[in-house]
Amino acid sequence: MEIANLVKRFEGEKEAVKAVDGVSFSVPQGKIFTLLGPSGCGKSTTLRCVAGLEKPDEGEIIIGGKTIYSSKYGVFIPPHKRDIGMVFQSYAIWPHMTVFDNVAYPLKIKKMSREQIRSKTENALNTVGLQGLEDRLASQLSGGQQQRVALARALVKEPEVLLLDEPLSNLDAQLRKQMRTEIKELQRRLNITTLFVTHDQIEAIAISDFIAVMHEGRIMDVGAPREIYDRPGTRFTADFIGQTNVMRGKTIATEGELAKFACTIGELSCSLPSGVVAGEDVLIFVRPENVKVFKDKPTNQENTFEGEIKTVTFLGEYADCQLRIGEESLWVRMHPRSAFREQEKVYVQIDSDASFSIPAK
Amino acid sequence: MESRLAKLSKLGEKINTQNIILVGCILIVSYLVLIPLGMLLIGSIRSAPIGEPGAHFTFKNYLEAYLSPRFLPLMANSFVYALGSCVLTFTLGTSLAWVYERTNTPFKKIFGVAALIPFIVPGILSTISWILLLSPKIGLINIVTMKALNLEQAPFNIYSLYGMIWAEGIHLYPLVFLMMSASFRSMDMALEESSTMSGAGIFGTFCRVTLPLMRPAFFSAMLIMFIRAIEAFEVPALIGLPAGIEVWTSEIYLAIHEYPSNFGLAGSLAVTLLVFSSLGVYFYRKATSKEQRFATVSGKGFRPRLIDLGNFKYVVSGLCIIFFLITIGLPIFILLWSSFVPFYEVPSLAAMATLSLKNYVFVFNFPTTMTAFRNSIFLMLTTATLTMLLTSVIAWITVKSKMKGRGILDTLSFIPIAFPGIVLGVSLLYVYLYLPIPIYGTIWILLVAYMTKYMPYGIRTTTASIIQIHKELEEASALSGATWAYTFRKITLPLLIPGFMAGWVYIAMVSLRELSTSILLYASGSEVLSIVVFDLWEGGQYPTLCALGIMMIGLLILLALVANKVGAKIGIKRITS
Repeated sequence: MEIANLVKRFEGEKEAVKAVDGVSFSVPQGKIFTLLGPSGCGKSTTLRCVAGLEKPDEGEIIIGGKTIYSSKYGVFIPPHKRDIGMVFQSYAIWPHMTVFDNVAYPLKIKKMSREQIRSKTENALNTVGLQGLEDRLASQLSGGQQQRVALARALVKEPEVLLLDEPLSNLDAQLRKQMRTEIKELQRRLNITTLFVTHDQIEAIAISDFIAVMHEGRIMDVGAPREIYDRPGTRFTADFIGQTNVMRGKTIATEGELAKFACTIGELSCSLPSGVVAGEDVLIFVRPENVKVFKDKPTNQENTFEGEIKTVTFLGEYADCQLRIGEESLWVRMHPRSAFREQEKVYVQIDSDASFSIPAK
Repeated sequence: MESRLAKLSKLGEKINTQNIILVGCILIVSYLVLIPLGMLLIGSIRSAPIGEPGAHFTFKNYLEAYLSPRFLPLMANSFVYALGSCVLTFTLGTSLAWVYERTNTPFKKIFGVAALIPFIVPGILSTISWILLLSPKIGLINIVTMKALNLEQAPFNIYSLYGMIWAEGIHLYPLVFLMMSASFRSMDMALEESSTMSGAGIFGTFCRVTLPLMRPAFFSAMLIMFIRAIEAFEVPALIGLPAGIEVWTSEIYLAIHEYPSNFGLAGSLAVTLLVFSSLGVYFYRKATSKEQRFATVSGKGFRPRLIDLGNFKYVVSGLCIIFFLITIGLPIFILLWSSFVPFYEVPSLAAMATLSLKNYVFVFNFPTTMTAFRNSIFLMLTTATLTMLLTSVIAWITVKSKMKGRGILDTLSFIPIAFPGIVLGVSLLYVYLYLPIPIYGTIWILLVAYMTKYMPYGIRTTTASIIQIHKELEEASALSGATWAYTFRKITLPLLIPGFMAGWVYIAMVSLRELSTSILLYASGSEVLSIVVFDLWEGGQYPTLCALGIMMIGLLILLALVANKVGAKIGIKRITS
């Protein structure tokens, strides 16, 4: 699946607003590609353009070698002629039909024989683990079951591409985790190219082969989940995915992958993006889990600073701790049992490999 | 080459099912609405009926209407009549709604059902029953009170403005009851409770919070009652005309019914009435949109706190029972009684011996009534079905599609709400006397008239239920490979069924009792039930009329029961996802 320079405008109060502003990406066959971003970032609009539910203003969409939209050639294949299965945020299970009828619907439109419809529908229901519920009405299903019906309906016609529009956001936390795993397993098993939209970073990281982080209609970063998390290319991505401390600094010297920076808390070494030279201003990102706190001065003095604990918030699985180093305030994630008190003087060590910097603009 | 291809495909995109249907709908609605409106306006400024040679444009018709010595009393009567019934319906409807929604009065559930019964009885039968009760000569109530109190003169006279206001008000108040119940129910109790917590007492809260919050609802209920009363035909024709109290609708009727028909005068009066009712509708629309902004109506979940009336609740309950006995019990009783006697006479023990089913047998053997039954039922079924199908498509377009031109469709289809029945009748007379469409004098002209008249009701119910259908339900169908038409048939329509049924039954009921438009358009062979009732009344055949009327009411009750049952059955399924 290839999306190139996609633009979608909506009529605003005064002028047209670009909901999607030159988005390009490609999804390799059989992979899950996730569009991640806050609400209003254009991720759902992008997905709806791929589905054909919105008509883009510019760009090109190609699925399996077939152009389904192209502004240049005036091509727009309507949604019902696209080879796409989609799961909606609300599941959109038709309440006046049984589970069987819901799932068999795409096959009936294809005018398949009775026998084929029955076997394919049952197959799809087996795949999502709903065998035996064929005759239920949608209103008699739980949220998780509705979700499975929606999946079965999207998969039953064996589409080229599967689109998932925030499919887990209406489920409670336990079920969400379970369905996340199931969807991923199913996708691997069927080897179906999938475009997934979510605002939940954990979900995105857990499920995806690739993530594109979107902001204000543009893609800020693309990459595998680990790359996006460990080495975000923009401040937006760093802030949006996980918690992070941001400090301003200036490059003093570079040595291979690492560099020394002068920043508000003193001299700090951490990993360096390519192309930064000495003297350049940078933003330094430190993840809260990559900071260690000691009561006594550690033997290894690298990247170690003196600080004071301001607040400790116990959160069950871990404790959130706010530290002060000079003028700078730093969030640190600690083991929930670590026995630090507020106002205690401590030593703070920042992991140089796991911290990173980008050029400040 | 590329750009030509692009242009061709763009053109191809425009000629799709959706656009064809949009254009089709606009054409149908224009035909139903704009042509009658245009013909009425043109006809009212011509010196002779449209189609007659040698006619020219003139304001003579308006001058004739406005300068006539009858005009000022006509205006005065119309307004007093409309305002009076508006105040009466409002008082009755609101009090009952308050008792029903907000107090702990015993039997209030029964009162809630009773308050809707006048809705079922056709206007002409309700009017006739009040004449039979309050006429100075034969009125049952008059005769009984005269005997009981030894009075020389009848204490009540239906043939007066007061009589007209009473007959109209007692028939129309269920609508106010429904509107005000809804507002009482949807009011957020927290608004009142926070007033109490701020230190205001029950009375202070009522004056400072409850009343101001209800004001928009009061205003819109009053307006709609005013419009309804000024458009009403049955009471002005049956009571007003014999009493010599003319209002707009009866004057238009007279102008058409004199020989030769004075189309010019009817037209100018109709346009004048249309202006007033349109103004009313305009203000009503404004008021209701303001009401929504007022945000007291958030729709769900509030359990109103009931006001404990103490021992006074028995008094209220008793008053309600007396009220319903008089306003529902007596009229139904007098209709039933009259339907069993051979010649009309006041109920008495002596007359009991003469009771029989002969009138009912007669109705069944009377060719005109059988024709009317066939016509009415045919019109009821076709009007309800066609109107609901048409308005479902229109509502879908205006709510769900992003097509250009959908605003026009919405406005066009709402115009008939401002058309008083008698004005629509005059307009359609103009249209089909002139246009070469040979349906004048047939049942088809009535079908066209009913469809035009009830389109706005259909739009209202279908719009409400289409808004509730989540758009993803339809999108999921498109992505399953369904075309727009297939989706509409398999997904949208089935989900619409509850709303569709509700609207269908409502339109069926109002079609079955329609009189004010039919009275100008029917011909021998295309009579409907209400017309036959009207004719029998004019001919003084009260017993036959009452037998027919009772059967009509029976049919309407049956419809209401079916609606209730079907609605409840389908309503269980969730229609939103």
